[in-house]
Amino acid sequence: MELLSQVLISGITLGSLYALVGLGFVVIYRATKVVNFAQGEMMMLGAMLALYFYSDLQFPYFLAFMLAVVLSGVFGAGLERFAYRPLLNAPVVTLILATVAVGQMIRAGVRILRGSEVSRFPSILSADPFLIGGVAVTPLSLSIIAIAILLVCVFMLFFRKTKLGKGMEATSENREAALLVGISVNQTFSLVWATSSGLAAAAGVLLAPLIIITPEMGSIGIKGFIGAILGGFNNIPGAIAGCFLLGIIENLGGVYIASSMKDVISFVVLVLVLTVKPQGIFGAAEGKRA
Amino acid sequence: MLELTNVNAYYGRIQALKDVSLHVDEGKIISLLGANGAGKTTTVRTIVGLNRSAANDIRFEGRQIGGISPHKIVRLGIAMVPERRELFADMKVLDNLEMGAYSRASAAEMRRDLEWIYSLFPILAERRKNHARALSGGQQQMLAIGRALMSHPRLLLLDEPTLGLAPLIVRQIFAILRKLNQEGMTILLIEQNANQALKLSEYSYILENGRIALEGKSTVLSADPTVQRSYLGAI
Amino acid sequence: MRPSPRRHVMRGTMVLVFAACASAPLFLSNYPLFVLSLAIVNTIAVLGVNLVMGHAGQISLGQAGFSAIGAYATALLVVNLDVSYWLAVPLGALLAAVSGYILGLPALRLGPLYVSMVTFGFGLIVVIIVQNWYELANGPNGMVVPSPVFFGRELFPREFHVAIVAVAAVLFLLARNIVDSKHGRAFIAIRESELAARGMGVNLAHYKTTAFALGAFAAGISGGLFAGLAQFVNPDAFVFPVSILYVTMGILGGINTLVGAAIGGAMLTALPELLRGAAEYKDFLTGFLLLLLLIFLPNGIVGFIRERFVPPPAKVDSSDGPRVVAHTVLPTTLQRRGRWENNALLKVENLGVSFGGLRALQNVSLALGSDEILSVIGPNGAGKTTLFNLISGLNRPDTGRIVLDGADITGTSAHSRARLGIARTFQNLDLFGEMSVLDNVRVGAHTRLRSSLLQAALRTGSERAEEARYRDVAMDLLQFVGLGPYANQKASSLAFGHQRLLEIARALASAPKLLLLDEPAAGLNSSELDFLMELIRRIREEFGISVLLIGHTMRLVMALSNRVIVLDHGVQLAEGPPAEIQKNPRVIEAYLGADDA
Repeated sequence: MELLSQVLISGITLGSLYALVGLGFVVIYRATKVVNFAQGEMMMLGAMLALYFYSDLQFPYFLAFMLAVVLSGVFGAGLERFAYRPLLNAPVVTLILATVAVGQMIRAGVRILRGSEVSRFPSILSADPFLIGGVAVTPLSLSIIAIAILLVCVFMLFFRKTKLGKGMEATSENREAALLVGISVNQTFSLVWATSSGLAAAAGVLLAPLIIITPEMGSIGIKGFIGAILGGFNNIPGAIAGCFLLGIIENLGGVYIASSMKDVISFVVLVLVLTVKPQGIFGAAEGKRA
Repeated sequence: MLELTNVNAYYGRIQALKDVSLHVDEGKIISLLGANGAGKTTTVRTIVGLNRSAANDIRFEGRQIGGISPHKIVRLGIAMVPERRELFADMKVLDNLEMGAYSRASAAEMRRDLEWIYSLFPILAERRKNHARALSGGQQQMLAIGRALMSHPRLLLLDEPTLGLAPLIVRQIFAILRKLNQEGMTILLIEQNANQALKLSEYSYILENGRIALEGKSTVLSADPTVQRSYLGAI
Repeated sequence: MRPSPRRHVMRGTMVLVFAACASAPLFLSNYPLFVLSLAIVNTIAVLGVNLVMGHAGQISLGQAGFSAIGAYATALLVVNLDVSYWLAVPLGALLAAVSGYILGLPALRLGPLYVSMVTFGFGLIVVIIVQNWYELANGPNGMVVPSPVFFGRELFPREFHVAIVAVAAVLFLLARNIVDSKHGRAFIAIRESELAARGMGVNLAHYKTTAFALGAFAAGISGGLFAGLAQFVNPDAFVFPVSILYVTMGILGGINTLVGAAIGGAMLTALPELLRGAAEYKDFLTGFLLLLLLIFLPNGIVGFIRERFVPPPAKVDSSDGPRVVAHTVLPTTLQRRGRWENNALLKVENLGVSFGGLRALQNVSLALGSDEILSVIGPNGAGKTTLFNLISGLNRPDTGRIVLDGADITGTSAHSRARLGIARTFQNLDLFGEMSVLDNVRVGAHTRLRSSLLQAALRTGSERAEEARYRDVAMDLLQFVGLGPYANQKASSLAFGHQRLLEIARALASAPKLLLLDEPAAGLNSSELDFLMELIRRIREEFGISVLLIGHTMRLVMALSNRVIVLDHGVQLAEGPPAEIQKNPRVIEAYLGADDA
């Protein structure tokens, strides 16, 4: 029982990070129909930037966090402007390949700048577990879960309540109608890519103390994507739920089946769900037009 | 108020509009009629900037708007209610209306217009928290019109607002259009339902194969058998 | 018809290139020879990518995974089971092909989003499995593969090189044969328009999975050859960046060509070796190159050369409308003078369908017999195209039956209906734009061509005869609609009116019993309309093909139709001869609106 709750906690911790990354995927997909294969690399970039600011330059943690997120957001907007906007009218496949290319460039670029050495993010919170209701949790996991959930909520508030956020939603739903009410689609796309990159970067920074930081760590990002598809790609709350679910399933599988097979388990689960219900567990079937 | 001079437009490889000239006087209701495929929708899409396949001379209140992108045109005072409504289906009624006011700066004015729209379409007030998808066809049409009105336009373009609606609702919508016009709104109306449109409007253009085949005072055209021929072919 | 001069030049060049590669051991030293061998091995994998992505239009981000299957299967068979290397490689490739087929199954239902995910995941999973499989495959440490043995003697790398060239040449030849056959045209049709491909009888499920299987087979061969060349297999050779490298090679050369695979493969294998940079630079530059290609040169080097240096075929003056060719030899295969008594060619009974709660059609019935032209008219949104989609099989009805020539086809798939004798054109045109005018028509005859994929790959006598025969039929049809001079032009380059005619020729190529024309006259000018009307008349009279037509151009509808059916709001309003319909008050009301009560 103790092991189970342990696994659940780490599953939820991982899941909350997947949710941050997955949210970014979903936002981009809904607006542009593109799978952003570079999302994981944005996450890695966030971690690397935070490492640089916090470890190398000795900035205070929250400053390093903010800088990493903001710079990633700006970078994401820059990518949109120079790499993706020229491809606005190209077939979706081309755009997907472009994100793959960009992802590779970021990965290789970081390797060139920083070498393949592994780094450890200095611990900012104690890793000593304490008990809550018989379950051992570390302050680190708790804070990660808390911050991740906080960020998701902040984003949802932005998305649902502010004019810019609603404009993003409107553009995702109906690009022409959005134009007709005065929304600049170019501006919206910049915003979409900037926020997705920022979200991914935040996930990277939060993840950093938990794992070894290498240029390859971005491969975790694809889990966020899988979790979102699992939950329902067209439905943001569903996607978030799917990510949490994935984190838990993965950890359960990792412990009870084989640790090295975690990735395989994720994909198998994904294929199973897609075969049975392509819109995802919480996804709605295609509705009628309004 | 609105002046199109020798406007051309392409829809894919088809030349959908060939030298179309028309004008809409301020404060009037003008209707644009014609059989399916005649080019009516292409005309409005060209006015509003969604179709910029040719360099065109389109003037609004004296100012050249041909070639301007659509999200800027709404700020100039033209709003369009697209064919098939094109609502933000998964957003609430209230959100759809608020989105309509995206281009406006003053929150206070926006609220006033919202009240005005609720008074025009009480059903929208009642269902303001519902998702647009859940509304009936007629209600969705009202929402689409309301959304367009939220940008406080001086010229309202409507593309087949009665498509797929029951006759009672059609009558209601036309009544609202009449009321809007009485309050000073200039309207360009595209309709397949020629009879009703001719009754509502003061002046009409009939498009055939991308050209203006006939134009004139609506009362005169109502009685003209040529109109029927344009829709159903020579007898 | 003999291949064009351009074709001869291409073929000659390829032969020269292969000959040069085969004789390379005579004048290259060890290391450059190794690089050349590697380039050719890579090219084979890229060939697979070009088939799947460039020709069939699917997306495959896991090609390296299939290479891994081929490589490891070969290694395991040779090392553990003592199988001859030359048997192990094809077996490994077959295993890869089967995996490819299975992987193609999700592609049937899911869009590019999911397919990219699934192929990407597959590539990752293969590597993970191999990395963790210590017992058999030595995990991350890899396996050593002995030199391939040929007739009892171990081959030197120089000799093995010749084998590699031979295999590559054979694969290219097979690929070329497939691409030139009806199967190759089917792939491209799917890429250009799945909807139109279905309408022409192309079985999407079959062809998509076949495309993946073929691509995987090529990758499997590539992997097996790699095992023999490097004499070592380990997971690092098949990681995700390798899949991306293959895609980049494909796009660099020209993804929808075969020659492009060779160009891309050669350039991107040789350049990194020349630069001798560390791995980081290679990955970065590959990514950067891919991005630049996607933005500036999406058709690759071959595409660039074609656009710049190959002059377009002589433009025939298309300002005159096509003229009716009075004495065309009509393809006898198209004669369809069956006599269907009592309107028994097509019976539609009480057809109804709803989309998302909206009743698109309700209780629609009609019957069509021999030599008839029946037109369906109605105001916007009446359900006319929906009716066509139901009859041609692109949608299924909720209620009612469709009976064609006595057989109930209500549940039959769209591509099967093409085989049964229904052909159609599309309201907004759905041509295979990148294919030639002639090839578009040849796709129309897809259901008439019977050769299997294997026969096509081997270019058997019967396959060649069949292809020649139906090529002639296609030419005849082009002459019939007046497009003969444009046969070798790209379909997308035709004038609009000619494109409409091409769609009709394409539909006729399947020798249908029933022709569905969806707004064939939309956008035509007056003289084009005259020609079209004459054409449709001849189709009915000389071929005996019945026509079901949706039209808004009343001149055409009223002049040509035997009968007219009027739909409004999904419901049948009236049926009768044109003159009656024009005077019917309910019809007039439907079009012009009710007189206010």
